[in-house]
Amino acid sequence: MKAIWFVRSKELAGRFRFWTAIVGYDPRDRSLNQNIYLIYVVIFFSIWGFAMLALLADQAANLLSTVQGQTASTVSVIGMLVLIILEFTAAGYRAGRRSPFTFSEADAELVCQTPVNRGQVALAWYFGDWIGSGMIFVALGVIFRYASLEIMEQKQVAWVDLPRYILAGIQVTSIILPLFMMVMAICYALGALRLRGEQDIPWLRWIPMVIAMVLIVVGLINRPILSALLWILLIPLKAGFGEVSWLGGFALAVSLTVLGILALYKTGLRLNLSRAAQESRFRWTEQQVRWLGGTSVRGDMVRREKLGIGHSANRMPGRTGAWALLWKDWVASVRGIQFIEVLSWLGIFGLVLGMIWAANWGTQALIFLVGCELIGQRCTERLRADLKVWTITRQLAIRSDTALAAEISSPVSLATLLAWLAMLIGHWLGYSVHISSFFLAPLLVWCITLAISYDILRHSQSSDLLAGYVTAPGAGGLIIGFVLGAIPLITVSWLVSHWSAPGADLIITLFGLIIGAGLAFAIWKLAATRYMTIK
Amino acid sequence: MYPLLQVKNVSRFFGKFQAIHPLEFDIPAGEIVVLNGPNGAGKTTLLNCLSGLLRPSTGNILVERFDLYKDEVEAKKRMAYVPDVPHFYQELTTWEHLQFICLAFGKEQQWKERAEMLLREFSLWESRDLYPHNLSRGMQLKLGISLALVRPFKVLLMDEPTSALDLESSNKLIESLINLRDHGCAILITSHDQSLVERLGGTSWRMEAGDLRIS
Repeated sequence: MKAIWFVRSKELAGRFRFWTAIVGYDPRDRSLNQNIYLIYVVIFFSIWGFAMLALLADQAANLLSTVQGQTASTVSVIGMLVLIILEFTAAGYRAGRRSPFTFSEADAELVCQTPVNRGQVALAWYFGDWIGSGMIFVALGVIFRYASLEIMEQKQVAWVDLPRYILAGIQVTSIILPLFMMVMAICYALGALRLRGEQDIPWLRWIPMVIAMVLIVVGLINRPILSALLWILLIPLKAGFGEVSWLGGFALAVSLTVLGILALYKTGLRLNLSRAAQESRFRWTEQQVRWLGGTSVRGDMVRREKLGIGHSANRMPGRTGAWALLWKDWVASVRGIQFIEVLSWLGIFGLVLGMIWAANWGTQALIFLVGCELIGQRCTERLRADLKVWTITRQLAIRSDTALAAEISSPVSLATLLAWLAMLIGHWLGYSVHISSFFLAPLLVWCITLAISYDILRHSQSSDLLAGYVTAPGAGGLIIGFVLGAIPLITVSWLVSHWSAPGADLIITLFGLIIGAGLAFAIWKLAATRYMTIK
Repeated sequence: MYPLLQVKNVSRFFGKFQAIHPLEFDIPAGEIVVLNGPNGAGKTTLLNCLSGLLRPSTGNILVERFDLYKDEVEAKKRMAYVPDVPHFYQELTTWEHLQFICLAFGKEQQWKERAEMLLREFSLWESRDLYPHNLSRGMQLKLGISLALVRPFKVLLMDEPTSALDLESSNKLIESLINLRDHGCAILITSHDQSLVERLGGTSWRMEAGDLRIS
């Protein structure tokens, strides 16, 4: 059995070396300088990590304090519980669909073809995989714990509070980590169960979804029953957030983890390693590309994997000229959309809602900046896809300004619709949304998108485009977009707060529209000229 | 015959390196020119410049008297280019690529018959519903050729079109090119295949170190 752990430990050491290489530490170098540097790195990242957690906890405290009728720690417990259930649902579905055990080419030959104990293999791979996602959960737990402490004590985190905060961090980590590992063990066990022998059990992937649905339904009908069903998770979580005895919660969390690991070992005994290796080949390659920083290559790989071999011809009727670009974008977007892209579209909706909800200018400006970045990423995606196939797009007999408008119009329309929806919901929730915002929204999205498009086109070179390399949206475009979007927004906001004569709303709206439209037209023409004259 | 493609003082620099020395030539209607020369002579760069994919450092390119950069739309309506390594949209199938090109070039009616004929001619009909990344190198080149031939044009530029083609497809392509020439198109092809000039009944030009020798 040592052989399995030896192979796995070598692989994990390789991964560890990747991170040490990033911080400039060489584990093979035993010199005094390197040891001193290691101590420095550990201290630096500990302080940096604590500072970041405290900073995020400060924002989380603002969020938690808006929830009425519940204590901050209760809200945190519920929040972490929801996250754990969501993780179980998503990870369980993934594990039931494709092998959670990722084997490299070398593993496929060394481990999968030899008569080793499959249960041990399952455990070795499980123990090597928890760190990435586990750390995110731990960080979230610590942030919520710190935020709860901050609200309870009515003051921000200070250095004198350090020991108490470290203790609280350890307390919540000691609970969240075993709970996460328990969830992961169950999901891996589900994957191992599906990978037993040659038979496939496709319905296994739906079990976590069904459990989640049952919980939602029970929660809607009768909350005490839901609490009773989830007490096994609630008790440890409450212990982690200092609501009940820590020892009892910790013991329960560890017991659950041990049970999960035992279940994994038991189901893993008949694990078909060849099938697992076959199913995980793509994921392993994708991981390697990701580790090497090839985000564009990885994106292409994932998209191709999603697309599969082929598709029957789209029956949507198309129109000629620049409309063909819209037709192509529609077909490509519907086929190629990924879950993460849906989330980032929803992010635009959330950020607009956040801007309406935010109480001060600073927070609004920060949200607007993040919104600009997200709009830039999403709304220029089709343009970048078109630039990637330069040999096709450059040959099209369509004016560059028309082509540019066609390439961004669909995503700009979607972003505008989401912004409008967020405004309507904000208005419905009772927040103040000025009428001019509805009219300004499309112009702002247009300005931001075109500013970032202009930046992409400014950095594009024909020779790069011919090789399929397209510049990613940069900071320059983000700044221009932010400024262009902020000018009409600030002007209108200032006028609204300083002028309240009869008919002022109409005049302010018209004024905002004129400024916005002027800026949008100017940046459109500028970007189109760049598009036409790419060297 | 009037010149369909006019090249006036076209040159291209990459930094300080001059890939193409200033060139002047015309290709009249109904003529096939086969451009050969050693690797790195500047053939692909010249074709990229002539097709508008790469902006020349100096000079003008006229397609049926329309300047490629001043009357961009009119010039591009009259030109088609097949690059040596075509790129495709990941999310569109073989058939949808043809549909997209036809729509973009204003052919809303009767494009299907032409597209089907081309796909059958180049043995791509069975692969019409496949995504291009699942096609072999040769099939991708055939798709690139089909995308050029499916739309109307007067000037056709092709960068080593027979390099990855099987013998049957290569013969079909030559037949098509001769047919196009007979219908008054001007064709410029780069190739290392010396027999192509004879088979096409065209003119052979040679390019060396960015300079053109017209025989």
